[in-house]
Amino acid sequence: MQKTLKKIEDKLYFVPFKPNTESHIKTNAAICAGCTGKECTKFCPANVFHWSEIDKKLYINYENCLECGACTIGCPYQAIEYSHPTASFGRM
Amino acid sequence: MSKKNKSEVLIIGAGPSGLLAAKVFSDNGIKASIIEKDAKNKKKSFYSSIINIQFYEEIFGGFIKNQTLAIEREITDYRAYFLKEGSFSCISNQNNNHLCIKRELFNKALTDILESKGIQIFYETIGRELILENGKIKGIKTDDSEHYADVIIICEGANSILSKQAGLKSGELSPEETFLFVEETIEIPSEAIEERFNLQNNKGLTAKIFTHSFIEIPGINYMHTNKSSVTISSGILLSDSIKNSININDYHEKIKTHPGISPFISNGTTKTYSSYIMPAPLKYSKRANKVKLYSDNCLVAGGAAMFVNHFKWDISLLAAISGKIAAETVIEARGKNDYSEKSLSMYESKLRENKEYNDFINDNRVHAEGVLPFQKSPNELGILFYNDFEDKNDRKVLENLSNIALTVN
Repeated sequence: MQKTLKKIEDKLYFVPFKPNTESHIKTNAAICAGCTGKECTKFCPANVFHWSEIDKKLYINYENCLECGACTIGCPYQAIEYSHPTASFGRM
Repeated sequence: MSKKNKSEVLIIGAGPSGLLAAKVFSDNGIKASIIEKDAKNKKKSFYSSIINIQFYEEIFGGFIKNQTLAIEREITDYRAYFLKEGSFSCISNQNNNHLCIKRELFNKALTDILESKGIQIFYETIGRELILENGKIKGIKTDDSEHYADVIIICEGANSILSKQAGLKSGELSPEETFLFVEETIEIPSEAIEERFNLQNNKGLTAKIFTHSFIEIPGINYMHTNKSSVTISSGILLSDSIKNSININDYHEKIKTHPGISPFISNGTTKTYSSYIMPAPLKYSKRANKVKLYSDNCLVAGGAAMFVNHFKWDISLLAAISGKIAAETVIEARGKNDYSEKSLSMYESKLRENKEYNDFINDNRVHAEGVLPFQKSPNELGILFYNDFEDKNDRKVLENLSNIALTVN
């Protein structure tokens, strides 16, 4: 009945991005490995953060970032560093 | 080799507060420059889509209503929805104090005016760090340039990086003090919008959606009609998102599928999706006396100073007002040739002379318990809604209506 999109991934498909080659979001691998809650993988409105159990590593899909800045505030260990993407890159 | 620029006044950010500050300088013949991180006409950061006509007309003159490209609809219908499981109440009020605008085009209209009056705007220029001399702020470093000024007004928005460095506002926001929003615009033919919302041609609606009886999380939600789309924004505290392991998009989807809202957007197509953070009103109740708004050569205004009044229809009005007052402060300090912290401290007393600011800072119903009013008794929610209306009769009617609407189970 309703044609509006529901999933974050589907919605992001329509957001114009021009990703830089380097991430504007930096994390601290050691802290992330020891983090139990992995909060960032749940609250980010663009699902930028993915934890891989296999690699024991946090992957950052900065290409999808909507640039709200919630990640730095929401990380309980202050392990996420956000800076604005370089001019003319990021969400268009 | 980085480029060096020097201006008398430097404004960081061409959003509502930065542009209003620039307007005051241009009216007074003072040379001011703005650095803006986005490209010209591509302003992507947050800006209220519902603007207060009177305020902008007083400052920019009658030109506002002639911006036919930038205006989506003239707001005539103000509503509050109170969602419950499977049902809802709605109260509505007719008025016409606001316009629904297309942010990018409205922003462009304002920047065009300012640029034609000699304000220089450096686009795609991102303030990365402060330039300090003897501990005092002298300028801003960007990726490829340095901007020096006698005085700087930081209007960088809620995602504030420079004001943090400057030790202004009250330090880092905590998750309990941050609302995280998503905003979705859903395309619907204009005739269907007018039929579904019972609107006349080119007239529009703005609504607040309260979810306290539906989802056990206090939220702030807005809905408004554009020409041929409907925008719904949903916000909850970041701390609630974390505590309840609920992504803001899932909360937003619950609102979209509620029977009070879904008929408005049925068969619509998602057009845009974005997210932003806004400071929670709680901030001022707990930290009011610690909020630092000025230091030597520097002032902070707008979202970066946490000046966001969620209870107004034009949520960036307070930001715009603070930008204007910051500029007026600078002009007075300039007359004394003194941009010291002590001299700029009159910013605060000037703010206190403003009604909107006083509403914001003194409203106990809003601030005493922080965001709790959103989940408290229905009557208080009614109060939040009719608080917007100046007219006492309007308020009385709304009070009665909300009491009736809310006591029906």
